Parts: sequence; structure tokens; C-alpha cells
Amino acid sequence: MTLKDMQAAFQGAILCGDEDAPRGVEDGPRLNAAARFKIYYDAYRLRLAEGLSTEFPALRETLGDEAFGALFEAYLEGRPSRAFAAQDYCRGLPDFMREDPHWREQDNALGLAEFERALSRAFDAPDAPQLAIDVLAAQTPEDWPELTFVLHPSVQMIELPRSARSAYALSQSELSETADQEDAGGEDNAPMETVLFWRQRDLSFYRALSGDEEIALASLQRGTDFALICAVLAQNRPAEDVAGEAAGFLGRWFTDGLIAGIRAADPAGS
Amino acid sequence: MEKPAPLGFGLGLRHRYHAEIVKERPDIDWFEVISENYIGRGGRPLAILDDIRADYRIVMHGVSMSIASTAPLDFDYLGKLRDLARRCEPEWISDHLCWTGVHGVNLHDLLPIPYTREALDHVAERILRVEDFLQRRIAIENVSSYVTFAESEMTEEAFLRELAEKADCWLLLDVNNIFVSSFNHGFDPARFLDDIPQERVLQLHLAGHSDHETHKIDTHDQPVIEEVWSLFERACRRFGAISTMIERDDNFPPLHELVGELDRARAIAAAARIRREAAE
Ligand SMILES: [Fe+2]
Repeated sequence: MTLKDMQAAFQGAILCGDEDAPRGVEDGPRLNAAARFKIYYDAYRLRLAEGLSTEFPALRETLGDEAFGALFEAYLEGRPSRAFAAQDYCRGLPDFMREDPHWREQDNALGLAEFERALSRAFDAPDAPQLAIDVLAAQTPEDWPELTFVLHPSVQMIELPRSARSAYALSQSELSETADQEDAGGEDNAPMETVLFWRQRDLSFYRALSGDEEIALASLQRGTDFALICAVLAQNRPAEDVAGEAAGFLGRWFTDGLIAGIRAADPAGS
Repeated sequence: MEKPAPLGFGLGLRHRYHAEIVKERPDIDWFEVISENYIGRGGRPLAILDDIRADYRIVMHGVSMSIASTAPLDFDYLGKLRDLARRCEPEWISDHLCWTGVHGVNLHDLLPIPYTREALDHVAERILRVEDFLQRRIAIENVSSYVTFAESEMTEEAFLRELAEKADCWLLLDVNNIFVSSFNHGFDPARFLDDIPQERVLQLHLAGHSDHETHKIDTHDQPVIEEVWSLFERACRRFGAISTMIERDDNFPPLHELVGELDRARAIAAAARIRREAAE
């Protein structure tokens, strides 16, 4: 048997749920070939079960061990890892759920999985400055309308079922490394909401966004200048309220550490 | 072939100890970092790495090179490894004598190989290509294994010895892995050590394992056991001063307990050195 054949057989036996030892494995001094091979068979499952439980603790708690176990097995069987880090493989779980005929119907579970992944991604996102609001003071008022902003790489805005945030909060009733900041959403009983995730001082944070803040922040993310953000907001309310509201949002984004860069209008263009 | 000077006694860098390390400055000479924990990540993990790197020498230890796989080398991974090495300038880079998958799949385990001529040629050729790509000599570690193959034509130690020669690489000897494998397969761990050429050994690993009576598993979740300490003593006598570190990946004790194990390693190495010099 060539090395290639041996590896194909060994991997096949680990993946396919066949507990028999692949050909070529010998009996040992105390265990026969099947029992020795089973150490690898079990270790593969145990390692990834632990990885998924670590990445999705709230999902596991919410689903319970039995359903979480079924999800785990479906994932391993349906989509074996192609990532070089086990953590990256585990973080692909929501993508699998979205495509799986059973799990894509489970809105609450899928939402919670996406929620937990967003927190992890915020935690691991690249570093960038988190500017204090003082940088605005350095801009002349005439420059304000044309200012554009760069968001911190940890910032994510994800539309999720409302249940995701509440299920997560419930699972975190003990103090944890994340914090649900004061809830700005909740204006109506819509089943979906947009949740903002970000990192500050090495912690991941989240909060629900109001419709206005979501529009304003999404505009800013696309590089829209401040004047146009105000114009977008003005569609929903009297013009005199808009500048104040936009300035309020901007102030909070600085405080939260969402702003990584600020650009005045290109002088050559004016 | 000039071996880099020994780094002393180090620890695997694990995030839970970071704050304490920075604050208390315990007696740890260097740190080994798991490359995969930093590749493609930013934020806190990289900040911790930069922080530690500013004050300590480090070694990059990987688990995904899959050097013994019959699948093509993953140059995407190797490129990222090279980028990380440019950033943190490790003293050296190591990975394991194992494969992690074929056909694009990663089983996230350090899987065993038969010790055949075919495997030897195959692995040596791949190490040479990796060394060429990384522009440095790498270190290859013996793994704990739980099966053996009927095809094997030589012992593991003979395989490592020939591999180091053929691929011009270093060896990272994991003393605990030697012990675990010797128990699982019924060979003499002392003879294993005695068959490894001194000039190729760059680093030693120490760790604990779990004992299941019929077999032992390399879990890195327990203190180093007495039999492994005495095997370490033998290694020190045979190899002289070698960069040594303790791997702990689960069931984490307070940091001072690991530092205490390091102190014991220092004392054993010092005593072994005296005996070695007396014997010369
Ligand atoms: Fe090791």
C-alpha cells in the first residue's frame, strides 16, 4: 500500500463513521487495531465538538446538548473542514446552517449562531485607531459637510431575528466579556432588527440600532459625507431636528470607538 | 551547521497568562507561540503577540504544515506563515512529523505515518521545499501516536535520524511524546533518545498526558510525570544545553505552577550538565 492509499483509507475511515481500523494498522501490545484506530476516530470528533462549543456557547445552551450534537454531526458530515485553523472551521457553522435544508428553517438558531460569530469576529478583527471626538474640533465648521469617516474593522451591522439578541443575553446572565449596551432599537415589534457589533478595549460589544442610526451608520460606512447623511435622515423628519440627531449619532460613534479615520474634503477638488 | 544558541527554559504562550506575564515578569526565558492562533487574525491576539515579542524571544510552532501528507503543499498557508515570521521574527519555526488530511480536508489532528523509505523520501523532499520557501531551516517534532503500521520498515527514531540528514532540518524532540508512544507501542524510550543525533536536536518539549491504562493520550492537561522527567534528564545528558519548554493547553493551573515546573527542568538540566562534563 502506498502512502497515498494509506492516507486516503485512514481519512476515509475517520470521516465516514466507520470504526473499523483501515488496512495496514497493526494490533498493539494492549489494544487491537480497531481500538487503537478508534482513538483517532474519537479525537477528531471530540476536538471539533469542543471547538464548536467554545465558539457557540450560547447556541449550545439554547439548543441543548442533543440538538447541538445533531447539528455538530450534520456539519462534520456535510462539510468537513478545509480550513487550516480549527477555529476558522468552527466559525463556518452559520454558513452551513444557512444552506442546510433543516437548519435554514431554524431562524432562531441560525440568528444566534450568526450573533455569536459576529462577536468573535469583532474580537479578532485587525487593529486600527479608535479616534476620540476631539479630532472633530480640529475641523473647521465649513469642512463639516464634506467630512467622511472610516469605520473600525471590527464594526459589523447584521440583520438578525430579535430572538438572537435576547437568547444571547439570557445565556449570558452571568458577567461575561461582552456587553449589551443600552438598547436603541425596539421601536416596533418587527421580527428582525439590525445589531451592531464592535470591539473596544479588547472586548466585544453589541447593541441594536434604531432605523435612523442604522441608515446613518450604513451611509457613513459607504463613505457618504456628513451633509448627505443629514439629507438621508431628513427624509424621515423635520429638517431642523436632523443636524442635532446626526451630531448625536456621530458623538456616540466616537465614544464607542467605531471611528478609525476621518477625511476632510479633497482640497484639490474644491 | 551552526546550531542557534540555546534559549533557556520557555513556556507555550497562552492568552490566559498574558496579563500576569506582563505584570509579574516571572522567570520564563522565552515563549513558543502556536502560529495558527495568529495567522489571519488581528485585534487582541496579535496585540498580545507584539507585546510579548517586545520583551522575549519567541519560536513559532505550527500544526497545519501537514508535511507528511500526500496532498500538495499548501502555499497559501506557507505564505501566511512567512508573513507572520516577518512580523514577529521567531528564532525558528517548527511543525510536526505528521499529516493532517488529504483531498483538501483538514482533520485537525497530528496523524501518524508508516516509517517507510517511500515516506522518508516524500517527507524529506517536502521539507526541503518548505525550507527553500521560508528561507530558513525548520524543526520537525516527533508526535504522540496511537497506531503503528504493518508497512513500517524502520523505527521512528531511525526515520527521524535519516530525515534530519536528508532534509537538512532540525529536530524538536518532544520527550513526553516519546514516552507516550513508547507506552502505546511497547518500545524503549531510552533507546529512542540514544539513537537521535545530538547535532540535529534544536529544542525539547515537555508536557503532561492522560493515562487510560491501555494507552496514554497526549493531552497537555497535566503536570509532567516522573518518568518523563527522568527521560528529560537522559536527554540533557545526551544532548547538552537545549532550548526547552513546557506545553500546557488545558486544565490550566496558576502560572506559578508552570514556572515551578520550569525551575525543575532548569535544575535537572544543570545537574545533567555536571554529570555530562564529569563523564567527558
Ligand atoms: Fe510537543
